[in-house]
Amino acid sequence: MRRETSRRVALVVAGVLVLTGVVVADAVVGPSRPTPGGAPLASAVVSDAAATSSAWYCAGLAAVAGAVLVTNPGRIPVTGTVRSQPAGSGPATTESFAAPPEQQVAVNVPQGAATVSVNGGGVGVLEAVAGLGGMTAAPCASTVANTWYFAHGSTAGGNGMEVTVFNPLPTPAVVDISFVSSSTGTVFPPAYQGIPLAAGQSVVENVMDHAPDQVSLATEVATLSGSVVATVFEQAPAPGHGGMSFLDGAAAPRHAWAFARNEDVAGGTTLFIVYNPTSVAATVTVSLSLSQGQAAPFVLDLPPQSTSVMNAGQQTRIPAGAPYGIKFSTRATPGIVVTRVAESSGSTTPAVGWSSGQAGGVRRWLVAPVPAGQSPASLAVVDLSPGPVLVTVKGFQLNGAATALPGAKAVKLEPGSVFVLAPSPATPVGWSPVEVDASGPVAVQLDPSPAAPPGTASVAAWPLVSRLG
Amino acid sequence: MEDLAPGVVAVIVTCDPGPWFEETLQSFATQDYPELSVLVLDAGSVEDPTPRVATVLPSAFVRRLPENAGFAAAADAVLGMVAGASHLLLCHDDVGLDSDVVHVLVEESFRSNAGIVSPKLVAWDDPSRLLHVGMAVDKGGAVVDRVDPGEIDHGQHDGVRDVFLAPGGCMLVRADLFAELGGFDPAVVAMGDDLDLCWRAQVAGARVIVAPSARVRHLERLAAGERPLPGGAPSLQALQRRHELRIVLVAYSPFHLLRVLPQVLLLSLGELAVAVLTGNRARARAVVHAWTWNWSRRKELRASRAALRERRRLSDSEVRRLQVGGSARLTAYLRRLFAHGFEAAHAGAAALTAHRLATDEPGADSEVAGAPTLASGATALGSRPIPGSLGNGAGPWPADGAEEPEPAPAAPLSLSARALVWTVIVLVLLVGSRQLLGTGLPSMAGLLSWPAWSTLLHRFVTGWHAPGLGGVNPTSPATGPLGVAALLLGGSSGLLQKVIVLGCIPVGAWGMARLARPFASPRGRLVATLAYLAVPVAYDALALGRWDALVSYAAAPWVVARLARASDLEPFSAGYGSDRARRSRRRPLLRQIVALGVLEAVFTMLVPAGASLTLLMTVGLSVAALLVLGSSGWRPVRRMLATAVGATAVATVLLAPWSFAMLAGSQRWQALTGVALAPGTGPGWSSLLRLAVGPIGDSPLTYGLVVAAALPLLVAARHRLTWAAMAWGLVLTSWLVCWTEGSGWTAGFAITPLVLLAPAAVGVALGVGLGMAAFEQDLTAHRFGWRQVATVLAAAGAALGALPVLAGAGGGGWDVPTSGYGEAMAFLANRAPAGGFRTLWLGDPRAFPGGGWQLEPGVAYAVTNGGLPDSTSLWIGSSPDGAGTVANDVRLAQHHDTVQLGHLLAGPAIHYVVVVQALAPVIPGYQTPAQFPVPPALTEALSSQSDLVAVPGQSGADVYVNEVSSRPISANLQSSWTYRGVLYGVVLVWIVVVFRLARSSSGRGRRSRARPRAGAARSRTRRPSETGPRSVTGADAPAGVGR
Repeated sequence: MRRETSRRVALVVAGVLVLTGVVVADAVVGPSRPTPGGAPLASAVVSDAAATSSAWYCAGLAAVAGAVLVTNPGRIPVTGTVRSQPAGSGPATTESFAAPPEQQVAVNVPQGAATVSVNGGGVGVLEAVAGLGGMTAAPCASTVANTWYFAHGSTAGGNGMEVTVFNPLPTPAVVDISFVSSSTGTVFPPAYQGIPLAAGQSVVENVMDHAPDQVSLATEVATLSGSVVATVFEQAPAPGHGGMSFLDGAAAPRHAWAFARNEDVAGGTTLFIVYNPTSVAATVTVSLSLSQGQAAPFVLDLPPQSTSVMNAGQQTRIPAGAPYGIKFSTRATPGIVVTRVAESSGSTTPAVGWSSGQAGGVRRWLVAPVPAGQSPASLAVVDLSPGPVLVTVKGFQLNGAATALPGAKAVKLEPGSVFVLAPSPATPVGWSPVEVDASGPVAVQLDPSPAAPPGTASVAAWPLVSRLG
Repeated sequence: MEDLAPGVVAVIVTCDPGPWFEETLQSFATQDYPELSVLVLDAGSVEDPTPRVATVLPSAFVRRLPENAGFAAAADAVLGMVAGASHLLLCHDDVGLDSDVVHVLVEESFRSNAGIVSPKLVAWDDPSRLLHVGMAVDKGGAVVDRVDPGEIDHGQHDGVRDVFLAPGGCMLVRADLFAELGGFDPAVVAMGDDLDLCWRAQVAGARVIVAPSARVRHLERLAAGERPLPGGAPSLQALQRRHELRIVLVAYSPFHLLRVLPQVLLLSLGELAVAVLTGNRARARAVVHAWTWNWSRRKELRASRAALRERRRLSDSEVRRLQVGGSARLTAYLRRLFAHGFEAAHAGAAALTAHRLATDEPGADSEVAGAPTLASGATALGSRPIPGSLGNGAGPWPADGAEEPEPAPAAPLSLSARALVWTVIVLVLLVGSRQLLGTGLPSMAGLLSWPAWSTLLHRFVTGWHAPGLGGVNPTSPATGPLGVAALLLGGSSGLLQKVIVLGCIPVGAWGMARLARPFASPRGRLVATLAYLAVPVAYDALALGRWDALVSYAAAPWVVARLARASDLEPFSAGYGSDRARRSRRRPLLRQIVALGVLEAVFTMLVPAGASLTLLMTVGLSVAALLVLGSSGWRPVRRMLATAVGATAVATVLLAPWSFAMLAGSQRWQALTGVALAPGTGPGWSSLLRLAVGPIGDSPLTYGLVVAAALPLLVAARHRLTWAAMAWGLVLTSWLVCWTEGSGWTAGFAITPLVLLAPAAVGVALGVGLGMAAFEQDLTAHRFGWRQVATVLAAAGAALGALPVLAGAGGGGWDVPTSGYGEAMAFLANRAPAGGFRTLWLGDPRAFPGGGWQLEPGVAYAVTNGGLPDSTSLWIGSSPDGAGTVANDVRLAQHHDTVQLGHLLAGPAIHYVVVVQALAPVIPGYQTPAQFPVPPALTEALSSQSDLVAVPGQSGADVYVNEVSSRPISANLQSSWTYRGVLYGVVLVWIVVVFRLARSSSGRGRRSRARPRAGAARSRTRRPSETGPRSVTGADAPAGVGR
């Protein structure tokens, strides 16, 4: 009897222990849950150099004629084609190109959205346009998406704002365009609803026609079917106070955005427009990285479907005339979108520039050289992590290897601090492509010279998620 | 003293007395009491008994009454006939008094100042067996005996004591008390007259005692059904019930009546419900008759209450001191239920008593033994398992090398009961599957359409199989027998598919019944089968289109049964029940290996994961066996492991050349187990514990089955406890493997959770069945306590656990989608380019049509010739060959390393890419099948390709058309002669093995027909191992020893 009882107890205890152990283990180590959302780090990501093919979609050129700039940091020449399709209907033109190693080539494109097909990978492509307002270049998109968000645009004060939507795929698409205005709330212009886009077709919508005199317009492009690429082309009247920019949109809201280098110059203004495109309120923490260290963060509260404009000049924590980095972060799901508007006193060209923030969480960046006719001024790197990071700025050798530039190898960055690298013959930052490699998330910004305050004409950089060279 | 002796009149009430009557009269004639007069009251005998009385007892008076209105009415006649006597000795005509009975009773009456004195009543033929030594009663009037039926008289009750009831066979009543009470209640014609008198006597302040020194033999002819009931009365049971109620309605004061009557009513309703459910119409009629009869005598009852009120001397609370608490009838019923099972409980105590007396097994309870008074209808509260027998409260565990007695096997189920249960089962399955029977099965997941019989046979012979880019690789040998079977069904492979798919459920249930059969508990076997049918695994497998899970459900109990036989553990050992026979007739291991090997081969050719599942079940059983048996478990574990490994080797040979090709391929683990789920997307613990990972059984009620399966771990003994532990070994192993798979810790080992739950279902069902067997065979060894409570909870759990499946049957289709991908994907062929085309299929393995290889955890892929694959794609093989290149191309797109996937896919002529996102097409307003979306990155990658055009309008699956034109398909479908030679050789081996097994089985059958089966013998005679300990421990000794 005792033996039976003891074995019975042993059985029950063993079973209970096994189950308890499993439940505890499940709770402690648990199965690795799938990572939420497949949102890419950015809409423009340099693919692996070993890729068999890659494509870049330059929607902004549908609004204005310009050029595509193909940056090849690798050691192998890259060939491809640029196919340009005018908005609406019209004959498409195709032009081949060959990008030598470590070089940037420009391919002029008549007005029309362009698809850059690359026979391989490892290159970055910009769309660039020059005019009275100076020159601007922004990354083309390396991916299509179902939604695109733009935090800012303006049709007030003579500013021009054009939304271009491009369907580069063979699958037809239908899109809706809506706006969130700081004055009138969410707007769904009937003319912008259900826009059909056949394969390869693009459309340019002049927002002035349906939402005039709006100081700040956040834009959302959403597809009902298919996938597209969207860009906002923003233009300020010249002369005197002109400028123009391609704003590359965000395919998805994100939890963190950063601008590596900003400066509140005398007579100028720097605005940060934070857009909450979601249906839930968001609390946004603004962190400042000053030369003397990290300033105490402050908070912005955004209702659903709203924008908030932060004027840096009115923030007492930001010293006038001093460079600083800034980071916007939120825990709200799915996140926010941030755009910066930098404006000088008017004596420079361009006097005003719009740029999208860099998504947080990127450790490697490929920084394009400055466009022809300009010279690099500085490369700023800001630490976005809660701890120190080691930053190395690498130049590409002719053999394809990326080696650290003098004075830029394993530089330790404290949290919230900024590292600024000035170009020199030994550190040809801006003259040729460079890679910024950090042990933690960082943001980078290359400003050309001469130029107005940082941000008015920044050079694009692409997140790197694969190998180059 | 003799001069002072008070006068006593012995009143013998008779009616057509039998041959014993002279002996009765003689016993009165030999009384040593001097002042005894005898009055014989003849209640309407056909033949005048006066001459017989005169012959034996010439001094006796005889009074003939005109009719037989019952004992009470006849005895009441004495009130007007006798005067001057101090006591009346009221007797039946079938009693035999010892010579000093009157003397002792009168003396004790005076000594104790008792109003009524009862002697000790013993059996007429065997005075050593006690009948009654005074009695008690519960508040509802149910009489409780103080002795067990058949209890031997050792003087254990020989003490004068107060009792509530003096049994009516013979009682001494003070004459003045009898007169004051107005005698018996004449309405109580039988069964209750004594209780009525005694109760009213106590209310009037008189004591009722038993004087066991006075011994009276009682024949109890009326109870034996050998005398007609007076006045056309209904059955004894009905008389007992109505008189109990009458007495309750008369004897209680208003306050207590208000308290007691609702309880009595409630118990009556409960008894009525049980009687109706168990088909005991006599009992049901008796309960209803009691209330209607008393209701119709309301005025009479009021008068009786008024009369008693005037005589009341004691309050009810004082009267109730001698009553027992609770409900004697309910307690006795529960005791019988727990101690002897349903049949004994519902057959009534009489049958049980008869059985026990016939088998020399005392201790039976009696409820309606059938005496002319309530005394014989008593419930023996004091009954206990006899000391020294199995029922001594100790649950024996066999010591090492020692033989402990095994309880007798449970009684078999009646044929009608079995037929009823199986009819209900078949009806539930037919009703639940009615929509599937009428229409074809939808093409989804594993339920794809089957090719024509000729195609099946062609693939069997040529080895050509379609998955991948096609090739001459061995395909599953299942195509051969399936092709033949389809041919035998008139060439309808669709009908064959339906038969096999829907037949998996009854085949599984059959296997479960076979597995549970050796436990010698027909109810346990039935319950195990029902539990297996109630587990949602099979229905969820249907709903989710899991062919592999359905086949596993069908095969798992058969495999476990084979492993059980191989273990040679009781009760599966060949010579179970006899140590000598066991030693001489151990199951030959080689035969077990071959038998399991054939079974495993059939299982594996249908579901490649079968071999892995067999080994997994072996591990689960082995670990549990070691845990529960300790060092003595090594032998059965070795046998099981050797059998499983050997059987796998046999199956490998029988499945050649397919098996060797599978083992040689690069994707062998995926082909043998399946594509892993994405981490975190597997079923949660709640679903796993309930064995319900699909739409059927998705209710907390299904926990009930698992709870019920735990019962034998608590109450079972001997081999039932061993196998309960092993059953739980199966369950825990399944759960653990499911969990580790879900956590992504098993690398390439990724058997579908539903398949893994098939062994768990076997374990749970076996546990539930063993619980029933333990209830029947082990619970008798325990007194009423927590075990019985646990049993009730387990029974409730099992009943509740079956409800979700029953509810699922109501839909008629087990939630199987009505429309599959067959219709939705028909357009693929319509838009086919000239020269043929291929389709790349991508999707979650749970929704993937047919079999596939792993692109990444959570995503399977396959390439088919043309559109939707057929069922042969389930045996996809382990060598993707060219399809592997296609997978790499898709991975390129996923990693953004190409935007021209169409160009890459054009090489292997892939014209369509289909991403399956749901089990079946989503048709708004018509069907909403389970959704199993692929990772968003895959969809984004495909939708970003510059040469793939998405086809709009598809729901449940994303379809892309490759814009790049492809080359026509060409393939060499000629198989080699080597392949054919091996194939034909294996077919020959199959024929030889099956023939040998069949011949061996038929030989055994002849031998078993030549001598009685061991099980049959056990059910009729007690085995030596059972009889030995009984004789030693005194089972044949008089009951009550040591009480």
